Amino acid sequence: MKHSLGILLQFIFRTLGLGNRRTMVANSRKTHRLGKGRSYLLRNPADMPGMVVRGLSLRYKLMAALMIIPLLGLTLFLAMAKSIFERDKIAYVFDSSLSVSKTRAARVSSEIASMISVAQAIVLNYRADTKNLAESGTYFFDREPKFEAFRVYAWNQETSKYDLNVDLTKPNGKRLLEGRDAIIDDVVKQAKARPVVVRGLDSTADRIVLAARFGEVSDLRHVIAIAIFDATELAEVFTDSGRHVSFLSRKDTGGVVLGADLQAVNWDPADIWSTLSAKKTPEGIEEIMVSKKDNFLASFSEVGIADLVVISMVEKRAALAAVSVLLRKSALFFVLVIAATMIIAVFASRGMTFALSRLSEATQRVAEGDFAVRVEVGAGGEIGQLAKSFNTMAGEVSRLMLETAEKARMESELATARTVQETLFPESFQHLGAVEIAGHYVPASECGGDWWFYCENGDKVYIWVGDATGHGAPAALVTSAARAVVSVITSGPEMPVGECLRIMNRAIYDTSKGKMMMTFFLACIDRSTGEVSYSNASHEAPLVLRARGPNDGEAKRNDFEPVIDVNNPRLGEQPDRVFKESKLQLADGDIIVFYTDGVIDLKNTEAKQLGERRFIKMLASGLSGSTGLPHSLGSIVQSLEDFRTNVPLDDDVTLILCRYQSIAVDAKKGAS
Amino acid sequence: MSDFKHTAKLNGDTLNLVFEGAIDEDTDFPPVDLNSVKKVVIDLNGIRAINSVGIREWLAWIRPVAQAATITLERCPKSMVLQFNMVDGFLPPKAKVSSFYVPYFCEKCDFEGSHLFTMGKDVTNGPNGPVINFNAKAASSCSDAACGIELDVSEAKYFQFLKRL
Repeated sequence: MKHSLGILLQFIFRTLGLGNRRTMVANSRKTHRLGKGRSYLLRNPADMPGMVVRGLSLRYKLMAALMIIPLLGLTLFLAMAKSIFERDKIAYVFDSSLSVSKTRAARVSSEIASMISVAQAIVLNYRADTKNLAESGTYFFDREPKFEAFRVYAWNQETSKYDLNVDLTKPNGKRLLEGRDAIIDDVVKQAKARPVVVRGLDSTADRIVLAARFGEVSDLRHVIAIAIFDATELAEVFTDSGRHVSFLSRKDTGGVVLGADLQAVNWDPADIWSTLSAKKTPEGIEEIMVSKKDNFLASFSEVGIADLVVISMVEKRAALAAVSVLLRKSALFFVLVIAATMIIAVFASRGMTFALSRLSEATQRVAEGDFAVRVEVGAGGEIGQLAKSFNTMAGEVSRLMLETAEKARMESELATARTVQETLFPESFQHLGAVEIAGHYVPASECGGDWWFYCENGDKVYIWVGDATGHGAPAALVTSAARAVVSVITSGPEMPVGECLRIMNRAIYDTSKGKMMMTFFLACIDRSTGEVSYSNASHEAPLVLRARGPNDGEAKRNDFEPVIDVNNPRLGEQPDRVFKESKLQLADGDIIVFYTDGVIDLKNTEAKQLGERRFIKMLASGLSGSTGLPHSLGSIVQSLEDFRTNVPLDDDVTLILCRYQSIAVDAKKGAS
Repeated sequence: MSDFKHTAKLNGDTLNLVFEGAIDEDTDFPPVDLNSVKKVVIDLNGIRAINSVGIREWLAWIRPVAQAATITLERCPKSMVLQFNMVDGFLPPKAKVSSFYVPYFCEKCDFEGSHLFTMGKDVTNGPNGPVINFNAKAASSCSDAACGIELDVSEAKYFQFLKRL
């Protein structure tokens, strides 16, 4: 039973998909492609060639659930109802059976008491001296129609036996007594032990032998009256019993005294009483199994006179016939309910899963890369909402895919732009006669707004450093314009730095219409004299570190002189501006440090800015000793990177070191 | 998204403004009625940072205001003072700076902070230009006699704007 239940539950769980789940996973290796802008509604699963359905479909699961659940519920209900009805019916049958037994026992008791009273009236007319009845005794016998024979036995002291002193018979009585001496003798013997003895008469269904002892056995005058009376009327009580089989039985042997015709039954009344008498109570009930098929519900009630008991039995199958009928009708009703449920399940599951099937198919299409697919939203509800969400999702995915492609294209273009922008910058290290230059540049994103450059024109070396507004591609475009202007300027004759910036200002203003600006510092170094003419367009002021002797030690903060004598508006602010310029004299070994604000704005992991003080400290450390400019720059850049520790840049970083070393000194060094 | 905030309070023909946050490309400066306002006082103490695009926005806003009204800048932080010195026109020609912060540091005490300098009190006019009383402020920073507190900026650069006032 448990095994069967386990198999049933396993089947149900598998059917409902609650166990041994199989995930429906789209083939992720399929190549996704963008939709072509087509939009169509899915109506027919045939539109989905090659679609693989894995596991039992939701529709069949729903159908199974809609059928199995009521089936189980109804079956359980039926089993419970059957059990309750049976118990209730058995209790009722026991109750009514015991009532029948008690009623019939009372009737038997009354009848026998009546017969004893008549017998007593006859015996009272017995005369011991004559050993005969008075006339009135015979009269009473004749007047009692049920009595067919009546005898009086008196105790004979001399023979120690009972002598038959009175023998009254009616015509039928003589016939009844013929050949039954042994029964009479046995009854007399038992009457000596008990005051009343009742026996059935062999071969008759309606005659009873009643033995009544009058007087105690110790009294030598006591007599025993034997009466054979007609119990036809009493027997009818046991025959009119419906489903009940009742009979009057002897308690000592279980033998039937009076009752229904028991010839056809397949059980022994003695065995029945043997089972019932185990209760040792005056009345009771018991279910008795007489064979594998036949069970009886039995009750008994003692009569209270002699050793008689009334037993009533009902075949259990017959008693529960109403339950069987109820079960059959219920089963029929259940079949109808299940059939109706099946029909409803078929339609309901189809209605519920149709939209889901369409959604599933659409999802499959999306998994295959077709993002143009849409589903019909329908009437609404959760499924409609899901369909709406799916359409939104598909649209969003489509949009995101397009955006991703667009982003990839832009990144590719930016990478190209960066490659192009890199060509705007000169070699990082250069020795242009008396001027040694080392530069470092890192953009904050793919393209940067910082730009630096150097070039020669005659005996002059120009150093250009600028920082366009913001960073990224727009700023990079401004630097491109600046580079083009510089190329034009330096291709002609020497020009004052203020004039150079004026031309650049006009070019940048015309290019960006005043929307983009650029801070700029232009220095022009005369290689033969060390004189520097410069102009500043609101750029970070460069720092000058004068040449230091071998014993001067590391430079202090105040050793760095800011170049701040002149300042001008940013390039691109206004179209026509005059840019003032100033001059600075360099001696052999003097270093100018050009940089953009991205350097001092560097942030570390604690979001603390580098600031001017720490930057100058790094410069002092990097420029100490007699190492070459590239090495010094590398040391400073490493210090900056150590400070930043991979924190993303907010702005582009440009740092240029420029050392003046006159040719005469160079020549001397070469000679030595 | 800029975290720039401002509050404005009009008192007669004087507009008192308080700026906070970062000045960048998303900053929206408050409109100023140039017909009725004759004096604008701007408290810049809450300005955290300014970038290059923010400089452009500042210039575009302050130029017309400076032409129509007298501008006084109060409690200017380091980030603004640096722009005064570096960007031509960032501090309009007729604008006044009533007070500004000067950063100090001491490596011995691990101190980094600022002191507010008030014009006329901490900065006075001398025969050769402005006279700045650094030491009195520095002394107030630390009670340790061995404290090596000093300016956290280049004196020549940071106070350059005072020459124009």
